[in-house]
Amino acid sequence: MGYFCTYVPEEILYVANVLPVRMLGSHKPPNLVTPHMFDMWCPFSRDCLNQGLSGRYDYLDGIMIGQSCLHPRQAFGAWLINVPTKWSYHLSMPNAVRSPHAKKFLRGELEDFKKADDRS
Amino acid sequence: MPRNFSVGNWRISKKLTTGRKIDDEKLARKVENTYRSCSYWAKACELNKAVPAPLDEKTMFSLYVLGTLEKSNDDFADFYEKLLYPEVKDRVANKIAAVSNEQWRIIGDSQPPWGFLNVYRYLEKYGVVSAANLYTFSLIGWWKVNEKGDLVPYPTLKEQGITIKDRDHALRLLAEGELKGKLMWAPFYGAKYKVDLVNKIAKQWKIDAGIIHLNRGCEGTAQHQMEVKNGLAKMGLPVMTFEGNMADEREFDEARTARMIDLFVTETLGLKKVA
Repeated sequence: MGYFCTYVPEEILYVANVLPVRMLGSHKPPNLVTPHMFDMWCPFSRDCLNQGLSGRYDYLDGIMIGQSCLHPRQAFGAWLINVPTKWSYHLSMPNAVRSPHAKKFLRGELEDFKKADDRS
Repeated sequence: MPRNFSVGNWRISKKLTTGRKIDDEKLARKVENTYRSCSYWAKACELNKAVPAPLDEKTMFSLYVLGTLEKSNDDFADFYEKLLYPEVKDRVANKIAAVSNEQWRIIGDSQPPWGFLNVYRYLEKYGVVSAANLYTFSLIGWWKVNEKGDLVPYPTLKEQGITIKDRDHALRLLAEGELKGKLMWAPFYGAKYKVDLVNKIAKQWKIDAGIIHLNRGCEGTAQHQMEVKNGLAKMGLPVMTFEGNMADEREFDEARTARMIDLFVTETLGLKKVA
């Protein structure tokens, strides 16, 4: 399972016998990505998407993202449109982490993710 | 003042955290007004499907401002329902065009470079009208996708036959409208969702081409802009992009953009200046 950025609960993936793969850039020119993310977006996110577009991660069974900044979220969205992907998941995170509701919300999201992971 | 303010506390306390008493009748009226403003702005935008378009996007930026400032305001809700909507309807009935020599209808995306709205006036010289934009339609407008898959204005409470019963009901309706109707949040729901909505708009509003401002000034509305471009291109529409910044004039090259428009409009669309 390939994943973008932080917040993805690798613990749940490991116990489900899923190998989490943190998707990274290549330090090579991202020559495929500009038609999908213009230059404003961060080089790392663009490079990650470039790896998907170039087929470097074609061994993955699925990809996921934990709600993080807008840059990898855009790479995630473009990936789903342009790279054949069997399974995907967007894990929501509490925006206001100091709110008294944050823990309950996150617990619910993790439980939902575990169910989705079990089904796949 | 309670440290952990929440809607739940608000409901029970009868008073705001400021200690002021809540006027429930006023709250109900304000929620009804918000529905009226958001729905009738969408209805006015819907009228822009007409050929020629009764509104151009540059004018729409001025007209949506009241809603951005205070959509629950009695006068503003009345403005959208009783003044603007009938006037735009009248323009459609009498074929009064926003751009009198309309030849091509374009769709935009995200906010414009605010310091350079004359870009739209420049396009008018070629008879090009910017008739639609997900951002402009939905920053204030509430919409829904109907059973046929078409984008239609979200109904007012009156049209839904709903009378607000109490404070809880008013707040739930407000949340429902914001969550279900406000497509402005589409960029945050994923690329495919945004692309599908923009494609629907392009089809329903009879759009001929896209001119997309790659907006370095708003990461939110700039989400998935290149996929929007690709989506329009897959529909067979020619699309031009130009980089700029809605908030920082130093990041916009007016002369270069005008030159790109010239090339796109003359070479790709095959138009000549008509004004």
